[in-house]
Amino acid sequence: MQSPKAVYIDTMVFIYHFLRSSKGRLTHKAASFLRDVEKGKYVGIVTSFTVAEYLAVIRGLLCQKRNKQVSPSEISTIKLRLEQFINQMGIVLYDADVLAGGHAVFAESESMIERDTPSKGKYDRRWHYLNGADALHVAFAASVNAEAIATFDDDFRGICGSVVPLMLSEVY
Amino acid sequence: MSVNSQMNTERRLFHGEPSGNNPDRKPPLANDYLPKTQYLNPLVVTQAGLYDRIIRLPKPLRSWHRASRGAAERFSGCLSDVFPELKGISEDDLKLLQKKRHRL
Repeated sequence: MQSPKAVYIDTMVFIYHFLRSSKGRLTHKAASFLRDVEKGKYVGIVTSFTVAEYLAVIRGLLCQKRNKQVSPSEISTIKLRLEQFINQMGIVLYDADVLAGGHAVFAESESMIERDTPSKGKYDRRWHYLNGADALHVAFAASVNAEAIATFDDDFRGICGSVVPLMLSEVY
Repeated sequence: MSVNSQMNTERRLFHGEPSGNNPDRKPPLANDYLPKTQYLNPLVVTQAGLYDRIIRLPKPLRSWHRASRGAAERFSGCLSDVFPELKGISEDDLKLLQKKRHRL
């Protein structure tokens, strides 16, 4: 049996999985990938930076939909769901502060941006390139020896180095 | 060789652990292999780029373990269940979210 691949999971994969969308193409793909993580085909990796990003996106979405603030207890609920999921899925969670302290993560993210190859999207005709937060994720992934980054985001397409993009929209 | 299998091999070498295939194996009479496994030359470890993986890789807050069966299914759409406002969100909204995330 082939040994599992260490894969850093992009924040949006969790968000697509936790939300039920009307058509559900992306949510189905996210679910298929996460089922493979559950089966042990991949070893999922995230950092505390992923948790922060997830929290920011969901809180922002809720604020917009309701047109009012999100209470601290609701924020705890949102955070708890991800923590429970990480726990039950056996996903490896690293402390981003510890990684940043032990590795040259910020210098690496700068180098990632320099080496990145921007590309024009096939369908949206928009230019895709690595931005600051994405580069940090890739640097974290490299610092924990992840082989790939599982994502739906075309901005990761041009990354160079030890971490390769696992484009879930194409693989699933 | 994947990171995991490579790390397992390195750990076994580093700690002199017995083979997983035959853990009860008695040491050979002619003890040729013992020094190699017990005293792994740190220079070799450093040169092979293994230093980071064996020694410097920080301990995670949560380690890998086998997933609980059906975990992926149980959490599918869990936030839409808790917050009804998030039910029936369109794919375009989700894509917009992805773009907005970049403002971080």
